[in-house]
Amino acid sequence: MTSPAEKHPTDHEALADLLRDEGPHIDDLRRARLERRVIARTRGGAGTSQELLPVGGMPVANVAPMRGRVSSSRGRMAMGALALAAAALIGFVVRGAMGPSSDGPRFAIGSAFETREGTLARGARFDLASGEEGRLEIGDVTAQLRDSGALEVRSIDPNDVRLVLDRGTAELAFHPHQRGRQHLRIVTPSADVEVVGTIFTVHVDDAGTSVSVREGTVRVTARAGDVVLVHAGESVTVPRVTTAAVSAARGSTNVASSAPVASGSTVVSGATLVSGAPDVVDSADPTATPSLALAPSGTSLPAPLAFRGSSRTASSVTGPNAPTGALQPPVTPVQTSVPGAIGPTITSPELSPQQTATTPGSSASELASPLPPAATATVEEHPTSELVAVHPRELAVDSWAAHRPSSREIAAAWHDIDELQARGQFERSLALLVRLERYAPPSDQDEALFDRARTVQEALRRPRSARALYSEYVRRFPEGRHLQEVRRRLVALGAPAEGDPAPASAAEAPEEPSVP
Amino acid sequence: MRVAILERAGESAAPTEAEARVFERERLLRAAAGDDDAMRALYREHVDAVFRTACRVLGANDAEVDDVVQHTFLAAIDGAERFDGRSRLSTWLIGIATRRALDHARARHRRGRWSRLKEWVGLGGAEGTAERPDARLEGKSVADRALAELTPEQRVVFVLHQVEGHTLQEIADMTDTGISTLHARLGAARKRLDAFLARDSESSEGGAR
Repeated sequence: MTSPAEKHPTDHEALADLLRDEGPHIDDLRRARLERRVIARTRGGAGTSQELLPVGGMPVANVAPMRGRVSSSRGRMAMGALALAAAALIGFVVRGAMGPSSDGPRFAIGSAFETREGTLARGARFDLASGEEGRLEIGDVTAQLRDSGALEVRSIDPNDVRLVLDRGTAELAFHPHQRGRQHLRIVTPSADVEVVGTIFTVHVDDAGTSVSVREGTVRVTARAGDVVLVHAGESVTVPRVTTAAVSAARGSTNVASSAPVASGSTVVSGATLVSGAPDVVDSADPTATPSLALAPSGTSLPAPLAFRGSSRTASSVTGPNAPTGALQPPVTPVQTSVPGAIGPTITSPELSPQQTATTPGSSASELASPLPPAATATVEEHPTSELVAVHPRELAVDSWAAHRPSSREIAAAWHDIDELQARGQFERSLALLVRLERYAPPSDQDEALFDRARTVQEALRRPRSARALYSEYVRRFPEGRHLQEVRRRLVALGAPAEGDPAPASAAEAPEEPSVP
Repeated sequence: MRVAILERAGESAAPTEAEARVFERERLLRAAAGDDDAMRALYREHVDAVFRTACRVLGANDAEVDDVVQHTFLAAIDGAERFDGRSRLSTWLIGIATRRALDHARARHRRGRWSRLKEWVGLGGAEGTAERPDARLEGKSVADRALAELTPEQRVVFVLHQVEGHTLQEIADMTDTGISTLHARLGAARKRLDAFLARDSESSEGGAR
């Protein structure tokens, strides 16, 4: 068990000495990542309590009054009921003996008169009557179903949980132990909700699908292909797909009534929200496929709209025909070809040439592309809301050149950088860091440049590029908070600590090629 | 800490303990009010101790360590008004980290009971439990394996007292536990560790032969 070279303490005193000498140390990247998360969450003072929910500690309503119906189909209802009754019996016995457990997929439904629980099977369907509630536990996912919810369990694989919510509300908590390897997807009639972060609510009604996020980040893909990243404190509503026309063309162009409905109609509650164009691939999730992100050939695509509400009151945004809210000038359509997309070539008024390669893994350049023109849209603005048009990236970073980014946007940017780096997508994080270096307040610029240099050095292993970036740091931030560390690293990289010529385009080239 | 105080005051005289605590409290309140620099300074000064505490309660490679560290600072900011300066800020933060880490460890312990039942009835292997933060201890250092022998509560008192040097009174304040209970846990922890180390030493010597 013990390696020959390992010191072997003989008693607890020696063990304590050993622990003191060889205590766990937090490495630089981890330290910086955690620091950014803490700062992002505490920025602006109060408001951290929302994030202080215990991990995995979604407040679970007592399985309340109800009489649940669980069936896979009508034909299987009777068998299902029998199986559930047996499972519930086992569940009670086990729970009585062992206490609550989250191991194995389980469910609980109940009423004022009875409560049932048991093991969850793939294909199970929950149809709750009015006032009923249910709870599901699958791996690290906990779902609380209410509001007459109708939910089907498509996959109970703890690493790939899939739920179909046809009606009602599901409140979900998802705290994966293996980030990037565990997935949760909620399919509704109008959207796919793929979880990047952790606690959120999905509500489905005749109007569409509403997603409210309490903690973390959720990626919502509308049926029409729009991609929206919804961060903590934000919510988005994706309207149910109908045959009604949604014109999303550039400028004053209207789309024929047969065009698919896009998710341009968006309800925003009090925070930055991006209703993306179909070409946009979420930077935080490279698994998005072009086929999901692109509309069929020849269709007009929805306008990229993003709105930041200054109040918690919902603002609604609908198609582009109305007179108000002409946000940006029109743009000439460009031809776009994306391998694997639906149809080899589409005409998209959304895309600028720099944005054509929206395949996974290519987004460093994609995110660094210049601000493309946005759309003309109708904005039904609530009197107390402030609407700002931004580019349909999840962070709307391209609009920062036009308006000073808010502290919330900057915090969201840091959050996404963390997400990308945690997933090992360092190249993609560089583009966001460059934006922060340009448009964020000086303290964030300082942090962003240092982080970019360190990422290039430690994660991407490009010492020459890193040296150039550290030199740039010395030049730009002669009193920067990382100056001492930067000088140390410059010396370690074989460069003079000061006076190194700065790279001509270090800030412009986040996607610089690897240097051996 | 001392450097920061000197910089602030611009004086060469060493600050008294009371001055240091007042400054700590002021900085905590500034951080809670949204002062980024205060928050960064607070984080940078204490993150090592908080991280070390979380690692020792949960296991160094535990995926929840980052959550505990993060939540510790957020909880400190949220409860800044409750910090009265009677103890050092570091002690207060380690207390928060300890309680958070213990919550995680206990939750895992509860989940582990179900796994152990499954294992007992032959329905699968047990997962890591709170007593054994990493069930796959092959290749771990002897220190990790030794700490894994302890319950989370025993681990806390052993690490905080024996390794980090906190007094039992401080640990009692951190964990809301009586001193006599802590004494008992510490004694049990030492016994368990001594027994494990003796066993491990014998087995490694036997393996070497």
